[in-house]
Amino acid sequence: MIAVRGLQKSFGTARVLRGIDLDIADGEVVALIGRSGCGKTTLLRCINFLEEYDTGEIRLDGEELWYRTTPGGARRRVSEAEARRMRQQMGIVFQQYNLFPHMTVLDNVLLGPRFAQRVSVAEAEALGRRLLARVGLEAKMSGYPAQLSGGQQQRVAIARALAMRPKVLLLDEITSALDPELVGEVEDVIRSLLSDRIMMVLVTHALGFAREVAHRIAYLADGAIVELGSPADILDRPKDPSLKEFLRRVR
Amino acid sequence: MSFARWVAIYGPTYLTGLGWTAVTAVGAACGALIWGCVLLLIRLSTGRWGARGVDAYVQLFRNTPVLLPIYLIYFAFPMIGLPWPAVVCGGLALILQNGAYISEILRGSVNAIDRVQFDAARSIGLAPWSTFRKVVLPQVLVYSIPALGNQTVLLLKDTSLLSAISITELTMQAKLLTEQTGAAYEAFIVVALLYLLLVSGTEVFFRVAHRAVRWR
Repeated sequence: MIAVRGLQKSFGTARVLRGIDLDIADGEVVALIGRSGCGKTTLLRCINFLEEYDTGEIRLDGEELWYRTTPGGARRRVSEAEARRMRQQMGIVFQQYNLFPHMTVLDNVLLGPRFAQRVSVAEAEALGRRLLARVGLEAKMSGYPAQLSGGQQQRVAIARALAMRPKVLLLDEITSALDPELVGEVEDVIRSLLSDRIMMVLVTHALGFAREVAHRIAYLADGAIVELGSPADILDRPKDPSLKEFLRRVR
Repeated sequence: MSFARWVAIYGPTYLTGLGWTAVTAVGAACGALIWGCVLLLIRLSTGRWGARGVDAYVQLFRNTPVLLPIYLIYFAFPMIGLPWPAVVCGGLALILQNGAYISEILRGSVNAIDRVQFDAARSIGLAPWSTFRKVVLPQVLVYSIPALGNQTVLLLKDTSLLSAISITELTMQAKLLTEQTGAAYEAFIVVALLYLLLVSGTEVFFRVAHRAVRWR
């Protein structure tokens, strides 16, 4: 499970996260929604330390991540090697796919297992093939990202994240950059992962999809979680006025 | 003596010069590419002071004529107990200077890599060295192919300066032939044609290489 406590972050004078508390249970899917600029993507990037944060702590299965407090009380980042080890327990999928354009689809998926986890070539290839089959792209294995549609690229990105055998999958608006007719195939892949009971945190604007796959939805505004509850609570019986306003605008 | 007859008699003599020009150009081009990659790695991995060091190095070589390091290495190194053969001294000077230019070319191409790829590399736990080797360098080299082609052409022509330290490359060969036969026009026209051929070949090589990249 993941436990986030009192997470705060500022960019200069702008306070982006003002004390986030969030627990994600094993096998749970949590959706983060809110206006753009509310801090939901920043929260996601703090969880796997693509962004540093100022105070607060994040634990994964009890282990404190990213920072250590010295006996003297000073807060220090863990070493780069340690951070890499921790990061391998999480997979992230980005809005813009972020595939490596010079590598084949299979090599994109293999890169992490081969060069970060030092898995043997044969084992990594078997894993890569299996994952690409799972996202329905085994046939495109030796193609390059530029030869794929956006939806296909995003499915490769999901396979690449899964190749690290992560405990949690972080999904950052993974369908926002896609043409509407390509959204479905990517959402299908995520649906198919639900049976694996892998933890997921998804930042999304697709409220219908969030309702369907998420166990809980967190509504963020101005860097804080304003309301947290079941999809029905948040989407059908919102209490907070700004959430009501947000839902009115989105629909 | 007609030009054709002159070529028939002295043509084979040029092979020595052609050989030295080709060997020094190919050797120095490979060396300069490797040195340029090393300079790029130093720049990217050693923080501000490393980058400043590389900047100073690049300035030094960009703002001095290449004949200077050629002479310096050839005449000064023996004084400190390093009496290297002329071809090694000349090749080293060409590598040092062209490596500086190439590191700048490569640096420009790093900016062509979408920043988000570095997020992706970090997110799968790739160490900096693996990121450089597997993600940065392959893309940088491919983006740089046209500019590297230009630099290689410049390097190829600069090998003519090695005649100053007694290497019998093409230009030196022509000069020697002129001195022997008095036929300056013939001697240098043949050399010009040979350079033209070498440079065209180099350009074709880089164009084919650029087209062979499948992922672009």
